Amino acid sequence: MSHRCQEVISLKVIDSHCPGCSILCGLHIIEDGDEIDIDFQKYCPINSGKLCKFGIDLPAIYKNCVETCMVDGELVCKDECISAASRALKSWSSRSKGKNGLVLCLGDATNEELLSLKDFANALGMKCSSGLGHFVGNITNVPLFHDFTGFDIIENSKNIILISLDPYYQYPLVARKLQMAKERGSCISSIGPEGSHLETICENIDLCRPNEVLKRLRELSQHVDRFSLFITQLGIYADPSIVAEINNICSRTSSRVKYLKDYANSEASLAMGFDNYGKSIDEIVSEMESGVITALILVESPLFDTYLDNDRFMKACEKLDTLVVIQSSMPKNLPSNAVLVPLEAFYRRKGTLINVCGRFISMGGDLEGTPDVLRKIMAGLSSAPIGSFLDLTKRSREAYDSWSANNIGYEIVSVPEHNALEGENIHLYVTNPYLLRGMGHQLVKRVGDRLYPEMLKKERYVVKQRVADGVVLSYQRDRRFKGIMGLYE
Amino acid sequence: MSFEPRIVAFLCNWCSYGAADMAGTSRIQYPPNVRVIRFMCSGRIDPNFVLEAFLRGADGVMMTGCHIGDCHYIDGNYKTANRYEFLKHYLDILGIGADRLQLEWCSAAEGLKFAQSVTAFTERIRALGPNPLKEGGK
Amino acid sequence: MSECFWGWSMREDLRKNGESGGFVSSLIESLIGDYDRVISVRKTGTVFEGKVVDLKDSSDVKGIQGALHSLCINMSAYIKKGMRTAIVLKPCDAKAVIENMKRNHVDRGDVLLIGLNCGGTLSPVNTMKMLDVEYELRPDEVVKEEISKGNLIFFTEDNEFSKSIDELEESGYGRRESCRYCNYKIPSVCDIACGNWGTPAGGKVTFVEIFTQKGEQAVRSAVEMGFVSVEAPSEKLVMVRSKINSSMKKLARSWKGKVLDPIMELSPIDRLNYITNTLSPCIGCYACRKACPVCNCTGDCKCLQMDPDDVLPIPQYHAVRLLHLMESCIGCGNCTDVCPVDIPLARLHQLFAKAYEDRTGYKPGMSADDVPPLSRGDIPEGH
Ligand code: SF4
Ligand code: SF4
Ligand code: SF4
Ligand code: FES
Repeated sequence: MSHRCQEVISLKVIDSHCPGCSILCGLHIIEDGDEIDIDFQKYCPINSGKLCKFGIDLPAIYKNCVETCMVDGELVCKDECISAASRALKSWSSRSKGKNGLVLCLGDATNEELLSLKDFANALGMKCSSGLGHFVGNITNVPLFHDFTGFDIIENSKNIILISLDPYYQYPLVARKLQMAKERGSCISSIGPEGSHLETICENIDLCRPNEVLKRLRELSQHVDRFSLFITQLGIYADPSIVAEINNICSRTSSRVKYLKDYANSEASLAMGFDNYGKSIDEIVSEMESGVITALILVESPLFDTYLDNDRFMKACEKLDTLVVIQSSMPKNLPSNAVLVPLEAFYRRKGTLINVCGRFISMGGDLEGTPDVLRKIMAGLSSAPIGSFLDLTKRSREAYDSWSANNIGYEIVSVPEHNALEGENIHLYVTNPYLLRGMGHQLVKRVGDRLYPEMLKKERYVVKQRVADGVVLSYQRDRRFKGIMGLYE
Repeated sequence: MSFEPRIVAFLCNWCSYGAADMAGTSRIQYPPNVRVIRFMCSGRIDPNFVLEAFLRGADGVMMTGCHIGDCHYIDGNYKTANRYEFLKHYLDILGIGADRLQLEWCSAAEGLKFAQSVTAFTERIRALGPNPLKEGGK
Repeated sequence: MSECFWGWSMREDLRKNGESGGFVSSLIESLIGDYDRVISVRKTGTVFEGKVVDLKDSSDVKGIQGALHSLCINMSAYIKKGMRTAIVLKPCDAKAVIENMKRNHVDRGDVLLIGLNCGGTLSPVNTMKMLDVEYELRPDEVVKEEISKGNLIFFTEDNEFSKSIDELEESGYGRRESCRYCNYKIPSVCDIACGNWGTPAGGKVTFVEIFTQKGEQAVRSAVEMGFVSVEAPSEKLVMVRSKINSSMKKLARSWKGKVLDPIMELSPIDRLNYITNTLSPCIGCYACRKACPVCNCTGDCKCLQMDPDDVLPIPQYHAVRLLHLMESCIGCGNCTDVCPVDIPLARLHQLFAKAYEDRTGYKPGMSADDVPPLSRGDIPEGH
């Protein structure tokens, strides 16, 4: 037997869920020394082991999760960034008279993390936002988010209407369910911009520009009944008027809706009552600009990279008095006044989540994540401490139970004025995990921005052709962005 | 319109390319249906190139190289021969048909042989008809 | 070289609870320390939930799942080059390891392969559904499942429920499609093959067949150190085992006749259309490559370099994969399992691989000394 000097590294397999979107597909993460890989978790009921492109590329994303601590643009050690964060928050809270502080977390946090953030915000007199709060607060007072229907409902609906959804590219797992539904004889229709392979699943395809969707939806409303199901995307850029209209149709006709969301565990931010600010991201940015919000704690939400108008967000951040960024991966851009506090990669955390079917599920990691970080920050602040992790789990279970026990109900609400395609930012109906989470977003940063051939060059997209009016027409694009790009072709 | 086969020929620089050249200079007639692609050795013909030619609508593909034993890189054409055998089975199972692929050994002096085999292959493809992938695809 | 034994664990708890007398559990326990990694699967919930573990000490051995029948994990992915690894695996995993040896991703000297006989695996989610519909059982009630005499049997604490596997498979349940026509049931390429075929009823022993010197050594030292005990099997039951094996193979042949042959018998143009249409819903996620145990190309492998937007009648990615896998697909079915749009990929790859095997006799995964056809450097016949 040959002798080897190689160090014996043990192999660790962790039960995990993909942080790509709210479906939370099950998978295994293999940790082999520095190498991270995935394995399929074929017994997971939600996805039977199947993953979309995002899940397959997860090792690369997790590899990017290196602990980085930064204060005022300089690399520091972890203790230092934590004490800088607590100093900054302390001085802010003593000066904050009448001014607002906000904890913003779009997702990718366990229930326990959300609760601990809420506790932390309360102790400092701050508010919390998940970026989806305006759907609950401003538009409607009804439990709109009780699209609590499991995934199986897709297979069992007689009439399915996809609104601006490109299931094959955005949510292949939903596409599978739709195929099964079709085999069982459901009638599937699509309203919205072009999608890929729509013809293979849809009987009726109503191609229209995003700003016509509302009109089509109204025309359609006579034909839906209680066996109908709407499926659409609900992200931070979703169109409030469409969401409200779907809600109204549902309440009149008892049809149902399934919202697909962009971030892991975004179902839970509502169940945990996390969003008590009730504003949209755009409103929040305006408030940052006008000085209503002076302190921001940004958790796992690198909006300087992913907000559609990210320059504007950067500038708004730089105006803040205090900015603490708690983040597991190193953001591409970071405002100079930010304190960057590192967090463990999603898969290494323990705790519980709520998946797209509304099931309470748990993570396989062994680290606490945010509560741990907050406790350390809190130590310098001398206010009420964060509860134990066990306690947080207990509370999240209770919150989940009472949330899931609520009846599904819809009330008529007033539909806000339709302005989705106007204004400085484009509000996309079609967003998807890739769009917000990675490589694709740069492409759609600003529609109408004639500069974006330049942008394309910087990314891996090559301009192949120009036409008379100078706008990009054809480019080598990654297949998975087809759905998004379809809008502008 | 009558069917004119489109044939892609992968030629080795050291032999069959010379043969094609010679056929040209000595005015030996052969059909104009071949599109020639030159390689430094037939061993460089990746099976993918053959696949790609078919996927992009070639009706037939020819691979040519130096006679066994004469390869400039000693055993490049042994590999070609093995790949050819493999590809034939593949094309057959796939349903394109092994007949649409041809391997020919041809030295630089064999201009006539080259012209004859191109002619024969073109006729064979003409009889077989267009690449079945084209019908469904484009 | 091949020797047969009945073996069992000397640890009381393992012998009682472990399947078939806990032989495999104790054997791998004896190997901890000898190898850098000792890899097996541990149950983490019901019999349908589990994950791979790297055993570090004796306390890790408890809960090791001997039969991997309803997990369908690709074990070969857990062997890392340069790590001395003892691993418990299914026949198709073992074939995958052999294919990887051919391509220099694994060294024969580094691994001890402990194979488990396999009559087929069940896809867990489908099986849970079947339990509900056909057996009216809850997944957590099941303590063990087994395929025996053409029946699929689920055991609860105090009962057993049995149904004909043929009927189940006709209605879309039962074994995964690739397992139905897989004809490699006893992993003879391993060092040791273990299973319950050819063991006395209720005997709490494992039938162990040893194929290599390394396997023999491992068993001998496990016996010497008091981890396991072995005895010679009865003649009669050795016969029974080989009978089970051949009837399983017969069944596999008949499934191949039902699934693959009809496609092969189509006219070339219909076959081409069948393949093109089957692949058309592909969304280019490349999960099938990720899951494939024999696709170990690192970095810039050919199939991933293709422009996925290039609209060709067959995506080039698949054209390349069909080609490369014609010489190496061992029919494990992982690709079908993970395809998010349910393309029966294994069926396609096996169509090519089996047809190639029928024509040339080349069988992937059977010997590390075989040279893969696409890598051959000799002069083929007729040239
Ligand atoms: S192609 Fe599919 S069935 Fe064949 S070895 Fe790869 S994963 Fe297994
Ligand atoms: S299909 Fe071919 S190129 Fe792609 S990973 Fe497999 S062996 Fe490598
Ligand atoms: S897993 Fe399915 S969808 Fe993904 S690349 Fe393979 S065939 Fe295409
Ligand atoms: S140089 Fe002509 S075949 Fe190798």
